[in-house]
Amino acid sequence: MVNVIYANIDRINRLTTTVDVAVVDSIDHTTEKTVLLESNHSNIQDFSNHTVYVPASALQHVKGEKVKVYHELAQYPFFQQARSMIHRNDSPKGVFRLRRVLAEEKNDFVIASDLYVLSSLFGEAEIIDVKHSRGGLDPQHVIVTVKYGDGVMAHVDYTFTSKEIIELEWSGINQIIEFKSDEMNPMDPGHLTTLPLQYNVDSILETAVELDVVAPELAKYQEAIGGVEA
Amino acid sequence: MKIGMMSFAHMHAYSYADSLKKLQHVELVGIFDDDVARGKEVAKQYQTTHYISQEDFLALDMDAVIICSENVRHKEMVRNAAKAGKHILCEKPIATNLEDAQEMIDVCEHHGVILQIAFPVRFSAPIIRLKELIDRGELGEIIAFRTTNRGQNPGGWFIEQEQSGGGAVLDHTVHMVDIMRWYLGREVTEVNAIVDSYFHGVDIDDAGILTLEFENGVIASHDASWSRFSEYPTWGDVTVEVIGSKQTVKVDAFQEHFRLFTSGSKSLTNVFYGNDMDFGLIQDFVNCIEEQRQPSISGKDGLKALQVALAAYQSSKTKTKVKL
Repeated sequence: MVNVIYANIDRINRLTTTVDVAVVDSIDHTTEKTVLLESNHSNIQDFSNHTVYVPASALQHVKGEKVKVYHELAQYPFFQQARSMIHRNDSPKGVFRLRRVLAEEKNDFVIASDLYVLSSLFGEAEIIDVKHSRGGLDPQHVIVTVKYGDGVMAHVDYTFTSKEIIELEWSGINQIIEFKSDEMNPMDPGHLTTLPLQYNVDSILETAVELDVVAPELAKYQEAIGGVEA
Repeated sequence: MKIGMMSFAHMHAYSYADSLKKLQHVELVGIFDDDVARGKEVAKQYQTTHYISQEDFLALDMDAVIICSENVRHKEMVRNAAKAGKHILCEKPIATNLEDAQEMIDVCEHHGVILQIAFPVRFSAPIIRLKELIDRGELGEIIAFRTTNRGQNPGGWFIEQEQSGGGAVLDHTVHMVDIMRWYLGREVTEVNAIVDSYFHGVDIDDAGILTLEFENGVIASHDASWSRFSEYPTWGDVTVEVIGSKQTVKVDAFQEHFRLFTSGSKSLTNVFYGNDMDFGLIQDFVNCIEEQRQPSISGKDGLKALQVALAAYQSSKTKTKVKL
């Protein structure tokens, strides 16, 4: 049985990946235990007898039973570190802001995936309000307002366009976290690397969860966002 | 030109007085402040006369006054100054409720004096530059805004509801709503907000997030707070990101800085060297009087910004979207 991981290969950090993994076009004749397949959100196949790992942002294209879901936001090292810092407070209070500029068509599954990740950080959302920009105008923009139970409010803003940027801000009690992927790019010109927006395969394998487990909660967020557009 | 100042309760008064002193043809003729100790001190600092009586102060031969009192006293001072025939620059927010704001606008109109509201962010060089780009159509059609105005807790009367009328959301929403209205030329029609108190153990709000919709469907998110602590490298921020159909442009009004590292509890300080927006505001107010033109930032601008901030409190309290 092979672990078949659908991923954006550009986002995979080979240096910090410790498991043996091969990038393949097809799993026919593969001898590897874990393989990476480029995910373009529409090519996800049903590999019976294998475990398929799929980003939650591509769930609309998933077929098959042995599927595990991973959330891209939760894979990024900056996010993992920030989560750890925020959790240093027993009961974090503050304002959380996430800004995502994405190089893809409007995709509500990305938003649902992020909300899922944020609920693991701040607990159950009491209020979710979603505001979509006017239809027919590009780029599409979405503002999500969330109130979490124990003293956290959040704004999560999305613009679906032609580049990738993530900004994270946490204004806590005597604790402020600021991350901007453009500023924290270790190379100049920045287009020479996808750092810091990379993650490793180990993290995907460790954090992915069976589709049956995550599906109900993701469906709840999908409904709050406004459902999948035809 | 002769200008007087009414109250130094708001810290911006010092910056405005400094700005007046820089203008060679402007004389700071007196300061009214019924906090006697403060009034005497600032009068000495600015080499002018302190008045305890508002009546005596307004009887002075002067063209205009700048009002920097506690928010709740704006109406009283504007009314008195207007009746005395003085042009007025009033610190933001214009008032603590819409009825007072409208009364202030009406009394100034009745007496034929200028009422300008102090929104100095309009005089920040990068904020002006972005306005020029928008007006030239270089961003295309505006789709959304993303703004922040976060700073330190000013303390004192700012955290007393009966003096200020509201906390961080009132203090730090009106600036950016004014900028968005200015950029767009449209009004806010819907406000959805969460307002709370997290950072300072005070009864008044110190954090809020607002989601707005304008009459043409443009949407906006705004983050207003007193979340910055004294060890943070700078006082706070004023940012606006405009998502346009042609391009997205982001402006940080305090980005023009260098980093100063020193030993001690505050090891990093951002040293700002950009243009002085308070000076720009004062210069504009003086020009407005000299040119006998309409103020660039009117009482209505102040009222509309206040309306959004007050709607945020209502939205948070009722957990509903407030239509304006």
